[in-house]
Amino acid sequence: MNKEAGATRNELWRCNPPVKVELKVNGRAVRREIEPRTLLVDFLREELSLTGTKIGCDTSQCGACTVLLDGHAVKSCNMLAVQVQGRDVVTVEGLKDLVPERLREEGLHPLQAAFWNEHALQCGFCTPGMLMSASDLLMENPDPSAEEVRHGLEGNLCRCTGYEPIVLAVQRAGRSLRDAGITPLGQPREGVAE
Amino acid sequence: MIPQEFRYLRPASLDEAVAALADPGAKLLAGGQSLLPLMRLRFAAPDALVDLQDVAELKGVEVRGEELRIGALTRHVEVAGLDTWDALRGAAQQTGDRQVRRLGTIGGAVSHADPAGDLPAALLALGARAELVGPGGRRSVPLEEFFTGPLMTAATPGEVLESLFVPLPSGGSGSAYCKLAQDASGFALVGVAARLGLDKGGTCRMAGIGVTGVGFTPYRARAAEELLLGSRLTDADIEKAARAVLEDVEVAADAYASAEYRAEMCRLFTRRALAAALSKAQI
Ligand SMILES: Cc1cc2nc3c(=O)[nH]c(=O)nc-3n(C[C@H](O)[C@H](O)[C@H](O)COP(=O)(O)OP(=O)(O)OC[C@H]3O[C@@H](n4cnc5c(N)ncnc54)[C@H](O)[C@@H]3O)c2cc1C
Ligand code: FES
Ligand code: FES
Repeated sequence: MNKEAGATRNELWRCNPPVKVELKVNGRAVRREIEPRTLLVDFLREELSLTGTKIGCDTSQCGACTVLLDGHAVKSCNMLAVQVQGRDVVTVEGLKDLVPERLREEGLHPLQAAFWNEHALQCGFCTPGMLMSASDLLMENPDPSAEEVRHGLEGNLCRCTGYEPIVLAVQRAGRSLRDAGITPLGQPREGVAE
Repeated sequence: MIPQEFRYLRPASLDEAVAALADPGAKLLAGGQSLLPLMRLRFAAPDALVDLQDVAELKGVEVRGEELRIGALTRHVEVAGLDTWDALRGAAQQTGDRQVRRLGTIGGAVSHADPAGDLPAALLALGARAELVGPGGRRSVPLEEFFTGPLMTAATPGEVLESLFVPLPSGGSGSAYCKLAQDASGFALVGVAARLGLDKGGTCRMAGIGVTGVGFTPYRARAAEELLLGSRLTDADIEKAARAVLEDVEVAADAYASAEYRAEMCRLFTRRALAAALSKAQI
């Protein structure tokens, strides 16, 4: 947390009476004073130095900024940090910690491992957002068809891979999670193991 | 871009929200999925933002008499999962994407009054009404009278949309929402919601058609509905209604669709929505 490392972008904007926000980010309590107009994505990137969450557009369309809010995918560029007062945010940095260590592959969450194994990224810019949306999708539907994955990820754009490997990766992650008997958030899931 | 500065207010009750709105520079924030993009482009720059998330009166869904009451803060994802008309669930399901449906609210979608909004079309076809609460008290407005222009509604700047009331489905009724989405944005080039009710003999006793993406506002196609009432809903009847769906409407043209194409698609999607509603009403 580089609050001391010179003026962050957020400090440069700071000209309104700041408001206090307290929330949980990747399992840790965070407390800051911010301007009300601070977008959640800037709060995460500038205040907390969690730069895994990306900004890919200025029109709320690309999904690169997707994080989990109370377990569900939202676009952090389209929320104010003050709106999430008291709530629970998970960014890509915290994804792997949701599952027990023995279920990680090379330290990665099964979704991340599946993206790696299926070559579901080239530049990787869309990947954090894809992972968070895919996590929400697999929560809701542990065994999605290719069509369901495409529909389920319609809020995330990728300019490189052509989507095919992304779809395969999400289905592969679905299989690993079902085999392990857990949800993407690491809770036990009954009755879906094959 | 970063929005212009504003004061952030978080009322705990509807009364407090109405009081906060007395400031002419204040604006309500529900899901933020339409307002925040506008603020980031600085098309909107309110002095104060009144976050509704703690206002309990705007939440919840329940049956009240012959109607389903849907609190204004009900998220699209929740509407998509309700046990209600297929047209309403379908419109919510086809609104935006996963992340947008998680935050966006039905009250926000109706208040924002996008000329291509999906939920307005369904609510129009279902004959829904809006309940507004303002400094002068409470009033009810049929949705048909609610959309007055692009991004303009019959609500006064001091009023909060509290709930939407939708008539309950009855035996022999069915509905559907059919949308032709623009590939990149997902917004409707044309969206048509239809609701039909049949009597035991198969004669049409109730008809509602809501159209979006075509005119300056989402609208209810009364002339087309009239042609269906009392008919047997044969293919020829549906065809006649589809031809009447654009009566009195100036069809929009833009970079994505010419007026001719939109008009043709509107007729096609009206036929599809009516056929789908009919097959559900016959089950
Ligand atoms: C990427 C993207 C794609 C989208 N795609 C679609 C789509 O395909 N179809 C579609 O229909 N919509 C789409 N939307 C818009 C989305 O449905 C919004 O959720 C909705 O239009 C506004 O709801 P909200 O709760 O987010 O409202 P907000 O953005 O919070 O508010 C919108 C407006 O309504 C006012 N308002 C909000 N609540 C109330 C209330 N209770 N009483 C009075 N005024 C109120 C606000 O002051 C503001 O002016 C999309 C949005 C995004 C970002
Ligand atoms: S940066 Fe949030 S949707 Fe593009
Ligand atoms: S991998 Fe480059 S944008 Fe998706």
